[in-house]
Amino acid sequence: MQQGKAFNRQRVTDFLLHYAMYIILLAILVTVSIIRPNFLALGNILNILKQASTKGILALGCAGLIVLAGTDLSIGRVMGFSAAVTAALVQSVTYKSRYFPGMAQDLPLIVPLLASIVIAVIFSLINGFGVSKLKMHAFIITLGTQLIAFGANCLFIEAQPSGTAQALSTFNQTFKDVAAGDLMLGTVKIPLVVLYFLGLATIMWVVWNKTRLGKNMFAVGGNEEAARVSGVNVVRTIMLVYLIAGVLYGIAGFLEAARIQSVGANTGLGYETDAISACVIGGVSFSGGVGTIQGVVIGAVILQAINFSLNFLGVNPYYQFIIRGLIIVLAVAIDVRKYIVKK
Amino acid sequence: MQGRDPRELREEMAHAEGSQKRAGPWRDNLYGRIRVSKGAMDKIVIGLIVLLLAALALGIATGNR
Repeated sequence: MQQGKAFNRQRVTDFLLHYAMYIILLAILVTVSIIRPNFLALGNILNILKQASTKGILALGCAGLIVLAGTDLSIGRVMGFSAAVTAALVQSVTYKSRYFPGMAQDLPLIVPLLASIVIAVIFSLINGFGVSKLKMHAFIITLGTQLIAFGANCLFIEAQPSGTAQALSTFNQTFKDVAAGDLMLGTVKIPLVVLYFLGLATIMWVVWNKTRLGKNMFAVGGNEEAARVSGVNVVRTIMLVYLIAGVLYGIAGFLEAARIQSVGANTGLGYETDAISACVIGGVSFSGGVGTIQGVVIGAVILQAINFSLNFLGVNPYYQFIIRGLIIVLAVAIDVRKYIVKK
Repeated sequence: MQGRDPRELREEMAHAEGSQKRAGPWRDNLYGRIRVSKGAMDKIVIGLIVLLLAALALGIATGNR
């Protein structure tokens, strides 16, 4: 009888520890909703989704790299550089201090979008080459490209004809409407960026679950040696996953420029933390080979909801950094525990 | 011998010993070296949860609203 009770207690403990992260995050959200019932107002929920969208797109790209048992520390700076290039190309032609004074009319939006994607893809492919061909650790190569992207972005912003390093702002209306507009559903304004995020998540779900690349990615992430023996082109798979990540970072840079309306040298600072946190909260394992797109989407939304609720509760901003850091460490500790239990 | 990559030397020595040992899966490479029991890991997770809750409480207490 006592043995049965102890067994049940062990099972409950195991369950609580296994799902500790979700229980805590849910508890925080429920507590905030009780303390401040207007937290659950539709406007706030849409705001959370809007803020989660660009970081969610970054997380979708980063998740593939984590499935490969890698990571990407350059996300924020690369996205910041992409956003700066976008911003320079979409400034209103009536704005006197614009980056390109010779530009007499607005460019078609595909041009800044492609420019943003190209910038991000270049950095991402450098990372991919370092990891797949040169066998460098993802932490090291992405740390290097993070600094390179930051330096390049500072130089780009400082090269304004006005001679100042002021943030790039005053965008043309078409860009604002397309990238940061809303879709009216009755009286409800659905931010377009949320729809773009969901669309990209759907595409990524197909890539991960219905294509050979997706299967190869999980095979390489789970056991690179076995994947190679099974005929998977490991280098090509890693490069393609990095390429896709670059495309997603570029799109995120384009959308983020529109969302924040003013792009400076510090745009994107710390976004890698949010993207990586969203992945680990969403169940993408740092040990590789494990993760789902729906998990990443939920992770991005939960993380943003937590950030939003911490601000909503007026939590000291310095403690907010500590809390977010602890969430990452806790998620990894739970992942290690799951690994030990499985072993 | 001088000036040679020590990794190359180690590889050659392993071959000379007829070692058949292959690189393990990445998951094992990443977490497999952690020598820690499930009980200890439980304590670490609980400790982190306590720290997280303490940081949350202190953050609210020292917050500006």
